[in-house]
Amino acid sequence: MKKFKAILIVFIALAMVLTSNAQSGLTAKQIQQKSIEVTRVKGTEAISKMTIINQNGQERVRQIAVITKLYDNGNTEKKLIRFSAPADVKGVGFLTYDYNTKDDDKWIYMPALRKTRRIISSESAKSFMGSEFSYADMTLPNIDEYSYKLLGVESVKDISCYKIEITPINEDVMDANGFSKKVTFIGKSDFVLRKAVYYDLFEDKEKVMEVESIIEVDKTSHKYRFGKIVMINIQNGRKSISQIEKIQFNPNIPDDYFTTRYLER
Amino acid sequence: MKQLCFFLGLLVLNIPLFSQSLFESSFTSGDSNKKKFQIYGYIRSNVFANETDYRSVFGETSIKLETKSFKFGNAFSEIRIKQNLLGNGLSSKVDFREGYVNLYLSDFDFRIGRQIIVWGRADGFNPTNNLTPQDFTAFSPDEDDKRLSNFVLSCTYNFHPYKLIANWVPVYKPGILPFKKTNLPEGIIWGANDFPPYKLSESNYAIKLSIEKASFDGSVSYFNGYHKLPGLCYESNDSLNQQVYLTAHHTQIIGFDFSTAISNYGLRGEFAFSNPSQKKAQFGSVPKSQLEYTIGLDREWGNFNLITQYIGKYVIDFHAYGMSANGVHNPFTNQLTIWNKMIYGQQNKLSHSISLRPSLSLVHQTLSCEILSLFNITTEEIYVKPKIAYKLSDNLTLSAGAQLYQGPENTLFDILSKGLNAGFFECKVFF
Repeated sequence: MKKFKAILIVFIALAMVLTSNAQSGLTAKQIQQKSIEVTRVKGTEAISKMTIINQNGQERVRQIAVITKLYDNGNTEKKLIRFSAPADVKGVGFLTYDYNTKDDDKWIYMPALRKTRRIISSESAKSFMGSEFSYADMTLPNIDEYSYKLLGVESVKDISCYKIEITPINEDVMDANGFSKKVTFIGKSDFVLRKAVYYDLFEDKEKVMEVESIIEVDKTSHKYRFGKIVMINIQNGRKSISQIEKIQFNPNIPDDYFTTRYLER
Repeated sequence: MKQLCFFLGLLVLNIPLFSQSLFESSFTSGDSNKKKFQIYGYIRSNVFANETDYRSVFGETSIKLETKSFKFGNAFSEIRIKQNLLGNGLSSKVDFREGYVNLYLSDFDFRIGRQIIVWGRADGFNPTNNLTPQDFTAFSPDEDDKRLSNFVLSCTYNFHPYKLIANWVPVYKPGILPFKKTNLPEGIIWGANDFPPYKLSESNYAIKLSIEKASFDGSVSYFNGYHKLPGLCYESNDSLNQQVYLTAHHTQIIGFDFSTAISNYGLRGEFAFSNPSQKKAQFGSVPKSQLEYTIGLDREWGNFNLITQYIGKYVIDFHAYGMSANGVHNPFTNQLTIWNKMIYGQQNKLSHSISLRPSLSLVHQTLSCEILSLFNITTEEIYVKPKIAYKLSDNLTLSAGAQLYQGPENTLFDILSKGLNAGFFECKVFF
């Protein structure tokens, strides 16, 4: 019996080592790729709230409606964002064609202009509507524009995560996205991002993003959205919270929705 | 009264068929299962003053009413109540700015009612934008307040990536020119306007075919109707009965515009050829045929944005000397001819202008600084409008700036400078 137990322990240990090897066999870039893949949902409709809190604790709240849909075998994500509150931004909308391998196409509709305007996508580092989130945070990154280094495994809120250092491949990418490097923590079991630490262009720690909840939107394909994200700017003490209030998985959103016709409605 | 009834009608509108889409349900209010409409708007106080005088001091309330999106559309209305504090006694004005119903029927979208339509992809200077007029005498920090609405029946047929838009404007509405307040010589009075009668045959219409591709947007357009800018005419039956009046001219305008991105730059262009039906008119009250073109680049560097444009005009069959049609030198009618050339920007055969709009967003997009400027190289006219706006909160914005026109004698900007040059301050609360 003792012999059997010993064999069993050796077998389990061997299995764990093999599993570990299989996981660690993934490169940092592959882990990042998987992390992007698990958030590529065929189609969603969501109502979100973005709360911007300044260093004095004053809050500004934006109500946002978002629809997304994948095209070109998942290589393009079309996204329409529309603000429904507060009154000074009500009706403002963004339409984005987020490509994997080239610059995005973007349009903005501002009720005061009464027309849709094409905007240039090079300034992804810009703050999104005055929040600590940048436009780059609102779109999926082009994976080939960064280099990746696996720093090890670390737990975030008791979830074992891959710790990966992501560095822009050149200064143009660095300037465009507004960070010199980013350290991300990606769940080992589900490849969902749990935390990211951003370093500014002077390589000082600038922002920490924590994912407080995730929603499995597509239960068949195991695709996720971040239910609540908190971005804290440790340099200026500001904080922004993005929280999904309602979300529906809907791969059949009409293509018409991703046109200026709906942006202007 | 009719306007008020329309507004109240929207308030009590009971629409049974609301859409089920989560995204669409959010358009009018956050939790729209209960609300069938939403009321929002602003209250503002404005002061416009130059070095010595107040130009305009007013308080204004804007009430916007928007119904929830129902299965086939929705409705929107805006009323502005303005009280001017200058002049003899307090004067209040209720402006039914917009009120329309949207209908969405399959690939067809209709918008019917009083509305403002803006065409053209260039920034601010749009030769293809001819459907609804402008008020050149308006005092406001917001350029949109210069736009005036009119009743339009608009139909859009969507067949992505194309859109075919047809607009019908049954009643002519002119722009408001800065000449009405001009002191006329003794013995000359402002007479009744000579505008088209309310007849079906006299209505305006326009069509536009747009293409919207991922990398390129563009459109071709055609306008047929009375031009939004009226001309000035003069009538003299005898030395005791002389009058100046506004008159409208019929024209056809073919337009083209586009926008695209080249590397980190946005490239936009807009072109229009206008051909008035009436070839000869007294005192230049009908302009010559002309070609207008705007081409511009824009670029962002972080929080700084710059839009630069070249704006040109070529007047066909241009005659430099403004003389009365009967060949008689009359100082006033010559002046009238000059004014008409100003209105239509036809003082020269070729004219060249540059516009610049640098803008900067600071303090987490709560402080914005912008300078809108136009320099007409040919006539040496300059318009500059610097503006700083600070959002104290989501609901409260403070703005300060100036609107400054300058030009040589007998230019439009010289006239505008006398009535409109002012610094301004605005306090605006959104609700």
